[in-house]
Amino acid sequence: MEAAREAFWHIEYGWLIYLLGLLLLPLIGYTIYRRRRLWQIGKPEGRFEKGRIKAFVTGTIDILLHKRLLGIGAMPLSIGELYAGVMHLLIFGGILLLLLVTSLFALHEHVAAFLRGRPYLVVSLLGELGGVAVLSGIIMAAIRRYILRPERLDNSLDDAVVLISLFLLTITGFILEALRICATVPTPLWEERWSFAGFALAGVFGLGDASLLPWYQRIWWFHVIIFYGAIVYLCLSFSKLFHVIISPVNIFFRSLRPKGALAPIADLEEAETFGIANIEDFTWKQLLDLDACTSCGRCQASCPAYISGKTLSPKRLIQQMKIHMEEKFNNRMTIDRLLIGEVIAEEDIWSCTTCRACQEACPVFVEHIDKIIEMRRNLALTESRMPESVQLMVGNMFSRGHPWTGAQHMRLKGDWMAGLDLNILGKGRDTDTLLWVGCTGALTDRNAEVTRSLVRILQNAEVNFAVWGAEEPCCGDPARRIGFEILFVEQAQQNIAFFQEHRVKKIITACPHCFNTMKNEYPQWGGVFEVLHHSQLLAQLLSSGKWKPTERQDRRRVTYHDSCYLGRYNDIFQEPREILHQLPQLDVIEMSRCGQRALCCGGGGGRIWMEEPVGTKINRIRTEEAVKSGSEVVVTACPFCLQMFDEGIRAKELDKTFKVMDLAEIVEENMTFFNGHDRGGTRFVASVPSGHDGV
Amino acid sequence: MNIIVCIKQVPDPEIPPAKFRIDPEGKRVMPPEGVAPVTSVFDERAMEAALQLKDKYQAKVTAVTLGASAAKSAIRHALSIGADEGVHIQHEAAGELDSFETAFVLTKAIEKIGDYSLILCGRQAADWDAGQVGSLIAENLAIPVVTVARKVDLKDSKVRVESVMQDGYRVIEAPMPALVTVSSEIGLPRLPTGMGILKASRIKITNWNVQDIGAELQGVRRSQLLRLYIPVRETKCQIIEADTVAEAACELALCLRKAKII
Repeated sequence: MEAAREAFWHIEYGWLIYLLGLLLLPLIGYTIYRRRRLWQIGKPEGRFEKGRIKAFVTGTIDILLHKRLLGIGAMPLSIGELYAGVMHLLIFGGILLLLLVTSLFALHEHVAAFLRGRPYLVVSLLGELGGVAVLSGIIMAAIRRYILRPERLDNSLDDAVVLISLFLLTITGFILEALRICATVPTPLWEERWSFAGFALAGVFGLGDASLLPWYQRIWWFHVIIFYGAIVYLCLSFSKLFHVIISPVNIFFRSLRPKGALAPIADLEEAETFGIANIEDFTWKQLLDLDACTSCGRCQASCPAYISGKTLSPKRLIQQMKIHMEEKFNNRMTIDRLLIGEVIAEEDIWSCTTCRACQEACPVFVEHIDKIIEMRRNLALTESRMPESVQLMVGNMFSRGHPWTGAQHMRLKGDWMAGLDLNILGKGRDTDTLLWVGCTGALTDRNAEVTRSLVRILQNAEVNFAVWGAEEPCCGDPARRIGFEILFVEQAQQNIAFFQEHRVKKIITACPHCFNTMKNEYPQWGGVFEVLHHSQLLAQLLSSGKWKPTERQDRRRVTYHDSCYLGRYNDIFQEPREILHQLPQLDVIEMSRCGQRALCCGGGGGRIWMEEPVGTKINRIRTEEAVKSGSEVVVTACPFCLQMFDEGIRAKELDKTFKVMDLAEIVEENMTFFNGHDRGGTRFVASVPSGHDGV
Repeated sequence: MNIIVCIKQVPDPEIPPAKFRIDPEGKRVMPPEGVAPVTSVFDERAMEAALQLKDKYQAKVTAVTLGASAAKSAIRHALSIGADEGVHIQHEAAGELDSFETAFVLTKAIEKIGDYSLILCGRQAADWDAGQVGSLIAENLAIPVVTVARKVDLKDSKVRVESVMQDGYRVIEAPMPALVTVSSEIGLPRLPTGMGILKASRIKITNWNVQDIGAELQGVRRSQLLRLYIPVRETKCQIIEADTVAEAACELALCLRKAKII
């Protein structure tokens, strides 16, 4: 006899399950329709652009491989995160296998009987593996949720219901299998051993015991009731398990804009209000995000604001907005709870560093930052309500064209150029390459040193470049990140016009914020240039032999801190590391949070100009992490990070044993100068005329 | 009610003092390279005072500046935060006028604008700190002037001003039209809103030169700059040594008394 299985073995009215299934389809459809009506209160947004088909395909692959949950293609996950990823993969993969196996059995029964002999055994084994996977996943989940209790999870009744029903479903599946084995054969066929778990369980129940048959029938129906009951529950309560439908949709429709480009305000010239102050003013995709969120809390666990004790939690932000969307819709849009101020605290809107850690961690591609920026736009442009420090920064950008102000910035934009013999764009030799210094690289003492290091390296490597000089304005990024879009647009347009007028083709900059804006956002205003971050250029110059590492006696342990706008936003993780690894006397250590999961220094999104009165200062936490890695030097490639570490090191009084350096500085310190260039080892002191104490 | 606010664009006072350059021969301040001029801080406060009145009583606010072509940006900014009209009296040598000449030109411009109830000026300009122009305009127009206001309000068709004193303030009421000079206590100047910036870009700024307003400058100057120099500041450090801290402190106290500091 060939191994096979009889459908609806000893079950009368088994066909009822198809009827029930048919009855439930409209319920599932209605649930989706009900949620879709919520998203439809949002504004239209074209997400069927070029590349969407490809996004569907890559999205499917991402889901199947659990790319984000397992950290594939990124720096290794922590054990806790890996645990959660494996757990989800087991449940997900197991259920997928079980669905496949069940469908195959249905095909076998009703279409073509093909599951006999070996194919049957293989399929049966697959089902067994699926069941075991789901069961182990559920046990892992229960341990995690109720024993390990990671902070990012909050426990609701729904979580318990979902876990218990999945558990009952799998366990009854195994029991049914075991009872079938018990009841069919006194000495089971060796083939039954392919159903290894059921076989083992059958041994426990007592093989060959036909009296178990009524129990088989009862449990079979129980199994069916749990399955359909769970579906009814999912639909009626819009349980988070509904994410199996909504989240893939959200992943398929994920943003295809460059990661670093914010969406411009449409019809800026004609606008009456700016940004978003009402939930219904978000686009349908922004609202779909709210339903796709499963509250997994990966965003919260990676959020620098949350980690440092601010009230902002990206998870709570999304969940609160979801509640608000529901309440507003259910009350015919008349609810008077304000989105800004009541649903979402203004403080939370300003706490975000726009570091993108939340969005990189989110397995379902929720777009937190776009929502926060839209609310900032409303506060900045419509309401004119900003923290005082932000007002100062904006005011300074208006009057001085750069965000730095006050007594701590006692420099002029051209000061850093002293004694460097620089080519000023349009005034000296011809070149299409501009070294964009950026406000921080020009105005703050510590970063001016970096700029000067970089210039000396470029000069030594005989790169033909020019600088804008004392008149170089701001790139506009600070204005854009705090929501002052109009100021950004003005600044971007002016800069683009200037670049085009001077036929600039290539822009080099040491500031990831300028880099990101020019590379990803200027094209929105027709400014397409080849933009290179200095880490990329230095790596290129190294591989083409334009500078060579030098041997030194002293060895140093260094760690590299990923700037958010370089790493997460622009995927530049390798170049700086390659350079550091090629400097022979450096031992490069990684911090526990690095690469895609690096912790922000706290300076992005305009935060570097804001006070940080609540919780621990983010830069101090990151400084501690850098020290804890066992390194002596933390290397950055961003002027904000440099400033933030500098402050952190001084505040913690670590300046004797630990220091922060820019990539350019450490390169300059460890390279051979070809043509007798002065290494310029002296620190940067601009020409101060005698007779002044500069106070 | 029509309010006229006089604003002046000055070299950025936030530049490092070490970067401050003068031309002693030409008796001129050299504008620092790459640093755009800004609206004088007290004039920003005067504008804020006008906008506070506008918020409360509905008024038409006109911003007036006398300056070189770059000064237009100061008017544009004033419009973006809420001024209704802007007048730019373009005069490339405006920086070399003395207080009397400046007040004279502004008076002519105000007369040409005509209908006004209140004129607001900063208490002094952030560059020369002379603090003359406001009072001189009032003198020229023969209207009352109240200086150094910390609060400006209206009461029964009069202007009611809290004027800052050394250790407090006095409340002065004056019939309108009147001129008030405003101090920083009035509050931080507001930032433009998005709508404000867009609206401002659509307003046409009135452009006059001194001839247009009949401001013949011959013989108006009444002060002369004799010498322009940067004072040399010397710092001397004396370290007081003694066997114990208490003795050193006594010694320090004696030194300070000798120097007539305490």
